[in-house]
Amino acid sequence: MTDPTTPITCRDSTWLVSCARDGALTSAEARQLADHLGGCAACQVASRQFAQLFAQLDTLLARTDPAA
Amino acid sequence: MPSRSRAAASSAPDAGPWQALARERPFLLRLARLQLASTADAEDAVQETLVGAARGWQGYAGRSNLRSWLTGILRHKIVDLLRSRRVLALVDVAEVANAADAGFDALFTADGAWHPDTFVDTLCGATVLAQRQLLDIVELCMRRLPGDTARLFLMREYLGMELKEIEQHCMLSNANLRVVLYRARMRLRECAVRSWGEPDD
Repeated sequence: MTDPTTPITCRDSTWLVSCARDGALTSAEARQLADHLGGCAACQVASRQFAQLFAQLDTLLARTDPAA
Repeated sequence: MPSRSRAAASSAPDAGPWQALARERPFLLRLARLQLASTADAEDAVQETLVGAARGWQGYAGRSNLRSWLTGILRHKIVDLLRSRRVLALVDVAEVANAADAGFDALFTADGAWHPDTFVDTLCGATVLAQRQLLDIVELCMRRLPGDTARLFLMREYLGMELKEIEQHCMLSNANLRVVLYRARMRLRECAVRSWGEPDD
């Protein structure tokens, strides 16, 4: 089990961003991710990129259209 | 700027649905073929989608984006097709893992930080690409995913299947499936952000 107080890497943070797409993170994971994002400029950018990409994916695949 | 006839065709259902529906067929077929191993199955699913849409055209009446509406109908056709089969898609785990590995390690340093030589910091809001072009980029990047990876990715992202159902359907472990989805999203991001940074000609 991962120690929730252990800092995570950028690579770990991308893993958690992906996991969050499939279901809620545990509170420990969410905290680790938030802590990492708070101090990592590159991951802040990557996180926004993922958010933009996921939004476009939802539009392309009609995941957000209630009429679809 | 769209031509007068094109704009009219897309906004005037009374001109008949077939012209508008036919224009979306290539996209639907590409999407179906990413998901279904059999070309015949993909063509059948798309044909049923278009026929169903034509029958329900009056009910549609432009209440949503046409492509979104059709994409939603096609989703149900594909889900029904997949669920009607006992063993739909055995996945070659090694092949999926190897295909996804190409270039992945170059993204990070040995200690797990983004590699400064490969990290692309472009945000799509910083470009002048139109929404339609952004969606075209995502589609293109998705089509570059290896076959099994694309199918698994779309089971989750398009069909909305739960992880457990995909695992059972494809005889994959939860850990393997999560890795495949993770690598797919990483590849998609990498592909998309590199295109976001290209000038709009």
